[in-house]
Amino acid sequence: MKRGSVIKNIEYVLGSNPIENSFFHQKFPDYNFKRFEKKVGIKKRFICDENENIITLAIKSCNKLFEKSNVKKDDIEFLILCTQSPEYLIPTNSCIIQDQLGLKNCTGSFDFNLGCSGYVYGLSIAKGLIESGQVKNVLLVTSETYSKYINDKDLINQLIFSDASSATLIEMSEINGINNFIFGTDGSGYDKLIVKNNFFRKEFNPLNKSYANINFYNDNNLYMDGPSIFNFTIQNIPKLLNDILEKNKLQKHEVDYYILHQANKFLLQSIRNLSKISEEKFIIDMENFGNTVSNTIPISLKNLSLQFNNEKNIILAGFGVGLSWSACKILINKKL
Amino acid sequence: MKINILSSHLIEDLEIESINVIELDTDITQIEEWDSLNTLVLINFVKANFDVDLTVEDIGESFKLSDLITHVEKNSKHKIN
Repeated sequence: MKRGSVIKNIEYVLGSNPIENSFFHQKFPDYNFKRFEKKVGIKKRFICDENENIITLAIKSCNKLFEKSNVKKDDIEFLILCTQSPEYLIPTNSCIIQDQLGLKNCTGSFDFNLGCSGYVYGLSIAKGLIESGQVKNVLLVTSETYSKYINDKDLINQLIFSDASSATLIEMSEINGINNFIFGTDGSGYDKLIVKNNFFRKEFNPLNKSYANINFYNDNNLYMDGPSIFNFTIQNIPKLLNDILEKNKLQKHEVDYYILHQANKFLLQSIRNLSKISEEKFIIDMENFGNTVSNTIPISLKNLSLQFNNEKNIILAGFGVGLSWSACKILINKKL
Repeated sequence: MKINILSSHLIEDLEIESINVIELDTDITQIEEWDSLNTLVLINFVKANFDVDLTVEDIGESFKLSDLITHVEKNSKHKIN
């Protein structure tokens, strides 16, 4: 039997607190929220409450997957967690998730630290484990609570980022549902999206600094140089989208959908225009979720798949913090 | 491209309400409503219209329309007059 791998199911959950843009009007009365909604394309985001963290969100998304699919917890052979907002530095967070989910002790598990490119990297690890004959299935979990890093005086990052977790079951199959990948890294841009003071690097400086007038942060907060990230993206991702077609020996017309990391609408539309991809093939799905980091691709894929009745060739591409990027082609033949 | 057309297209893309025209010596980054989103729009404007990369470092603390024209002409075959 040919040993391929397929994405079998996806479920996701969002942070408990829905926050609409109007929530910020009083605190930032001079900001043009209408323009933000039109350009950035985000109206609502979901922030976790004080009792929620990446582990509780992950448990919820995994349990939702077990409830809605026919997979049993005892069947899971490997658990991979992608997060950049771990609840613990030590121990490995996926070990806690394994225990709280009640997965068997013979389940392999580890965390990996990637942001917006993480889901595609996770798929490649799962494919490798399955197609090399090590395991029959992998539960790939993405879980992020970036909101915990954001200064409450940093308007833009509060408007953009949202908390969420996704759970994806990848299984061995005769169908080759996860195909070729491309990866990329440019660590020279490490400081373009960063929490500077984590992991005891230096003494904590509680003073806020500001940039672009309305964004405040200190060394324990998330700092994002949006224009530089935008620059990196429009310079690199259109080429990545061409290269991934070539790597999978595909013509543009053979692709049904492109699902890119849902950073913001303006960036996605810029990439779409530069890549000359038609609007109906290019998914923009963040208006009511915001940017959920490594969760955006599985959320969009799940939502899109609900309209599938036959096989679809889909290009996935993640890019951002690191700087890091990745792309792959998948084949989906059912509602996930 | 004519300078006045460039100016009006840029105003349209930036969606800035406080000005009707960007002159050659207008410092774009000092426009009242300027924020980081405008920087993205400006970078995209130059890329989409002239296929020229414009970086945050190129924009710096001060970036006039004349700087934009010089940058485009230096990095492409486009002439703006």
